[in-house]
Amino acid sequence: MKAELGVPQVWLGLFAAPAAVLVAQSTDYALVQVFCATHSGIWLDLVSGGAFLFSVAAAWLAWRRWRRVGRQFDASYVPRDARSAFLALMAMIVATLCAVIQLTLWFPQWLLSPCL
Amino acid sequence: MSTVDPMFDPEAALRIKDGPAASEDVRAALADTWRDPPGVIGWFSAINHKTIARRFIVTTFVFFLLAGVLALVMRTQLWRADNRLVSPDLYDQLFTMHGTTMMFLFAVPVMQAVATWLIPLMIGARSVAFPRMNAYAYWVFLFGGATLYIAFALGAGPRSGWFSYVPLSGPDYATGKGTDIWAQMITFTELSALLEAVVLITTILKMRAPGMSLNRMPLFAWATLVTQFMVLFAMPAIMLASTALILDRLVGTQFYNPSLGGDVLLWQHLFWFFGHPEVYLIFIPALGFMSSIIPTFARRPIFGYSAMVLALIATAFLAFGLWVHHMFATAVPDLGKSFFTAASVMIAVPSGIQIYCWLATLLTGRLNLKPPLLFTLAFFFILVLGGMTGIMLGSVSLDLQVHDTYFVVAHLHYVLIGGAVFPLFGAFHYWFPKVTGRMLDEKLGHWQFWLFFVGFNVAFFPMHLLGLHGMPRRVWTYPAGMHWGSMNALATLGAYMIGVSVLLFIVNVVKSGRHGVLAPADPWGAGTLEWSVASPPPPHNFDVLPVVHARDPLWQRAQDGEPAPSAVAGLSVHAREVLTTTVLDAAPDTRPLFPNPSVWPFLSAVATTIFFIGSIFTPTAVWWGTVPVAIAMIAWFWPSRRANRVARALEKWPEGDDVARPVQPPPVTRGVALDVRNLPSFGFSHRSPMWWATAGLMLIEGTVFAIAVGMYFYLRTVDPVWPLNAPPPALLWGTLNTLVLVVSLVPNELAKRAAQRGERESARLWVAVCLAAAIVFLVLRGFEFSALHVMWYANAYGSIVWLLLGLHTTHLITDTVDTAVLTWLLYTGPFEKKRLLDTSENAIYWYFVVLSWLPIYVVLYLVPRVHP
Repeated sequence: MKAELGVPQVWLGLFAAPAAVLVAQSTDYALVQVFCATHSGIWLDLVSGGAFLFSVAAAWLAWRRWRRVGRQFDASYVPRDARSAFLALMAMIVATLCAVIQLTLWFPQWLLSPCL
Repeated sequence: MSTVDPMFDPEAALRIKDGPAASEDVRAALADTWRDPPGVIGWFSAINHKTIARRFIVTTFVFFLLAGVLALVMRTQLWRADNRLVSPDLYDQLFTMHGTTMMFLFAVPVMQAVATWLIPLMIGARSVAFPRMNAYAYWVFLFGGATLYIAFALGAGPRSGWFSYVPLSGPDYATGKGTDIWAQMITFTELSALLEAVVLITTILKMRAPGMSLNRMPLFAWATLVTQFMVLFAMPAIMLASTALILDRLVGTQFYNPSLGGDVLLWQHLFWFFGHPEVYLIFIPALGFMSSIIPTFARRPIFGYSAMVLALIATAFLAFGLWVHHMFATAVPDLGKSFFTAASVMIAVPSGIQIYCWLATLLTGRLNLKPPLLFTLAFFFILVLGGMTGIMLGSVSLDLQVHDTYFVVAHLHYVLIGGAVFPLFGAFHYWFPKVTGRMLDEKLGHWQFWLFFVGFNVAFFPMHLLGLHGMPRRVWTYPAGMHWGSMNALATLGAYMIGVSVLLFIVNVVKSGRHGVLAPADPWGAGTLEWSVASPPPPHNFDVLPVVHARDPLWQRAQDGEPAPSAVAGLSVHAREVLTTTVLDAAPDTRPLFPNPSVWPFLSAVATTIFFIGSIFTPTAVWWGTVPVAIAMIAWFWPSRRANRVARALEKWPEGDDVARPVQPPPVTRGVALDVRNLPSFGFSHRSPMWWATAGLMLIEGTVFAIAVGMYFYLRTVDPVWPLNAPPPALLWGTLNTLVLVVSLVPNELAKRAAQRGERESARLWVAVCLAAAIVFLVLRGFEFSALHVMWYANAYGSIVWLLLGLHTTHLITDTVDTAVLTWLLYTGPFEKKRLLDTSENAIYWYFVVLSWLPIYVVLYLVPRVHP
């Protein structure tokens, strides 16, 4: 169990990536009025871009782990040893979905002014 | 142990253990041990999870019926134009009570109630974790709901809608006690929900049967786990919001008063930060019902298990990123709104994944069209319609057109009734035989379903059209010239059809509960563990705890014909000894002793009610009301000599931090048993259920502090002149306090280490030093409050300063009392070595209390000086 808990690739994908998306969304939301005053959206882009890259990186790391442990055990197979593959697969899919969501959240910044 | 023979001799009796080859006497002894005590006092002392859950479900269903009756009165009022059946004032109370009841007293708690009944059976456990806390949560919930309805019956019902927007619910517009009662009812129900969340999370993570690793957990357990984590993060927002509201109303704080630095949108942000996830708190457990019912009636394992788990986790996270889409009609910047439009659309992805997985399961299965499946099939039609209108409402432009119209009423009912109530009725039909031992009448079930399905669509579909024609929500009546009469009449007809359907369900429950066909253990041929025991289950759930080898344990046995253990052996039958397992792998870990039935959880809930209700009428109840609560809770936790004797007889110290090493006993008649007698009786850190409860408590309180700090910065952002011409608190007392707290970490750590080494003398000495530091801190805090240059009623800055200091002081007082009781027990006994585990957990909480002070210190003392 300790070995599994110590695998950052899994937790980055499962929890850090979704948390990063939520934090980025809230930060962007809080910054909109601030950056309307300065007429600059660069920080908004940095926050969104950073969260997007983080999610992509988390998905990639989880994918690497899944490739490694998934060869030994099919993730949908039931015995206990398959749990590593299961968690790695979950982490990869969650992080990938987060990347897509972050990209979707980023789109409006390319089109709308913070002052609207 | 009131159910046990008075001649009970612990040392002799505790040598009798359970196991696959156990005799009928052993099974009877297990039932005696886990049965709730008889008599009136026994009734109030019940802690068996099935007893409490049954009461919880019945209570929530009574609230559902009451809210349904209120809805029928409203629909009767609206059935024709210019109707005068009820007064406008009463109508305001009706829709407020209806929404409040359905959301706070029915939809969320019923899901938790069903989970507390099912989860232990589904994961192979004899109880929920913390059964007394589970009972306390129920009583608190009951008293909170009863308070609201008593106030309503006495003419003091709330009138500001279920979301109680300020300033309508503030002191200027909502006169009388109705809103105060509403705000305190929130405190009751959220406290109950948070406690239940801790109970369920710990149960699922620590009490699964051996072998039920995370990737074998039933999807209902996954849904429950995800939901309860959401509860931990969502509920604190509304508790803080309603506390700020009642403080504004009763003691004159200014959180929501724009003329003195407050902000009305602060309420909406806090409310919807809870309110939107709340929809998913209702919806996700229902998805768990679906994932239980569909495989059974499709007669095949669920399609896409991993994708389903992914979808649950993703939905839970995304649910926290949608709250502003309830505020599109406010002055939030357009770009800010667009983030929430995007998130609102994206949440359809995980929802869609689940729907496709269910459809794949159904399409590749052999369907058995019984009432439980009918209700779940209706989900697809209704929820998908509600989801579609939800995506429409996620668009700012459309939302602005139909905001606060009946289109929104139609949408939310399609989502909540389609997404939760239909699956819930399916769940009632599905698990009724397990709960009562009798089958529900199928014919009546079909009638109920079709009346409900048709009635629902007749009632709510026309509301889409009414909304598009401009009919606003919450109107008491409407003029005939608007031509809304026919649609409203149709909606009223549908509402009565729903009423008849629910009535049929009650008739079915009463009739079948008494005279229904006797149910076998597994009447539907299902695959999860609850169907492996008799219907209804015995008080101890399982004669022998199972060992799990597959996701659907009753469908898939051990692989490859290996002689794998099929059951656990070695738990005492004359004591409430349970098995805990590791979080990820579910390997046997410890065998802790659970508490006996007690009346103190009930009495503590009574004391809590006096405290909460008293504080509505006099602020002094905030201090005198806590005294009976503290007394009742200390009595609750105080160990009796007899219980202590049993605990010591079963006690085994954890050896280092190694994992459990269960011993294989000789083969018994049916397979091989997993002997757990050599496991320790408790373990430190994450091996202990108490550690998980402490972690849950810290997550809740950490969220409260984070939101309170967020409130500070929000108010600071909306006020150009911050801190509103008031001086920040003087550095002296706050800095002294910080020093005392930081220094106290040293004896705290020493106490923790001594406890984990098993050194009682050293542990109690350092705990006593910690206690002395806490008392010094509280004295200094008294000086700090008296030296504040701004009062709570002066402006919003004063309000938030007092709130932050008050919140932290409350935590510190609680921990001081806790530490004092622990010190007393360590010095005087009765003493069992598990008390050292308590010491270790207390130290972890002390760390939290100290560390949570540091950001508050920075915000209150340093930030105003760095950026005045």
